[in-house]
Amino acid sequence: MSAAPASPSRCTGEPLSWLILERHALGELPASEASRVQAHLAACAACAACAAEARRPWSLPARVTLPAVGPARRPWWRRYAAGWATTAALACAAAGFLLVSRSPGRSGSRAVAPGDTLPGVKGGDVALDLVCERQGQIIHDAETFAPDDRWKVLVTCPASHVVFWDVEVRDGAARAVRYPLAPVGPISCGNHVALPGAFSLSGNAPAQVCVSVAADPVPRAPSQEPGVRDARRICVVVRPER
Amino acid sequence: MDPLGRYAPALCRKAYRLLGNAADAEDVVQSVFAEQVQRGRANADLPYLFRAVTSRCLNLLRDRGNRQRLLQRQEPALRGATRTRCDDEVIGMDLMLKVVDRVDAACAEALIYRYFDDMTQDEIAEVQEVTRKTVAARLARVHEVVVALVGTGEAGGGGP
Repeated sequence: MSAAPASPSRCTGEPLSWLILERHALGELPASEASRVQAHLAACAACAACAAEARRPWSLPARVTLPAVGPARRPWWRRYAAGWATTAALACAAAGFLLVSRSPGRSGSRAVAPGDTLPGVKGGDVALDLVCERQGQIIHDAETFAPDDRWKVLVTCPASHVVFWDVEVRDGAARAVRYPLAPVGPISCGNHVALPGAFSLSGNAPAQVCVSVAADPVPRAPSQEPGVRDARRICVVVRPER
Repeated sequence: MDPLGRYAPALCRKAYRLLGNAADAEDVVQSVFAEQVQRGRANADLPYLFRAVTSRCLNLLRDRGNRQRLLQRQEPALRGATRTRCDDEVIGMDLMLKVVDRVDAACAEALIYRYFDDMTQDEIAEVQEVTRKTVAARLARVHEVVVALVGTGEAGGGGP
């Protein structure tokens, strides 16, 4: 089993988490929380040692090659801030292209192209399968919905990856956005992994079902138009039964 | 300072605790930042970025191709004090990898927050956006697996 801990000291109570310690070092904690942390640090050598660690700057090792950005050598993370405007413009252009190329106008179309990748995951193909249960029958690739149908989303993504997800539905004439499922946590990838929960579709207008799958948590942004928030949003449009 | 640059040291330390070496930790943080910039979220807060880094690290750790390299490159002596233990067991990289193989993604994430980031159940609930009860159930599952691994002598080394 494991060797002895690096430090013999143990916390006197409930350890302060690294997130708390880092936020404390950055001065981000509210005053009352900061006072609580200070009091604990004064009494606990183990947490005080960690707090000291959190205040230490992270120095890049010499083996990391940094491309020159202007005359001064800057940390790599600053390069992203410096290149922000350019990257944002490129991202917007890419999102625009995806909006056009993945137009929801084709009912029931799978807006997933081979080679679609998960953000930050090399070679991460992802595919969406919308499954409908209608009067006891399971229908794959259904193109129409009825009020009593139950819908589930199956995601295929590279095994060994863990991804975050969310499902967004725009239905009814007003195209109101709702989030019918509760993404309680990330999923382990595989073939046709069912997202937890099921939902129904209603209204007399076509409904758009969008699934966001990403390597990072997917924030909800209902005010934005489909496809703008995240290029990894995959949408399918289904029509009401006539 | 821009938010991402402001949080870089904290995130590198976080990834380092989990991956055991600085080079991989920096690569993970770099990829998270690149992703944030690409998505237009340069103002992400630290709890969100903590979760993003956790997810990236877990992806790296789940890839068996990376494991041997990570185990060889880890510098456990530099991990620092281990303040939170599971039944008095230090969850080192080797044990963590075995547990991660046996639990679902949400439990693996909770494991990292609890035993590597020293978060309380309330903090984990906030970060994972679930109830404390759900967190308790996830950690109970982790505990169950750790106990089984230790009981069968499979736990191995790797702890600091």
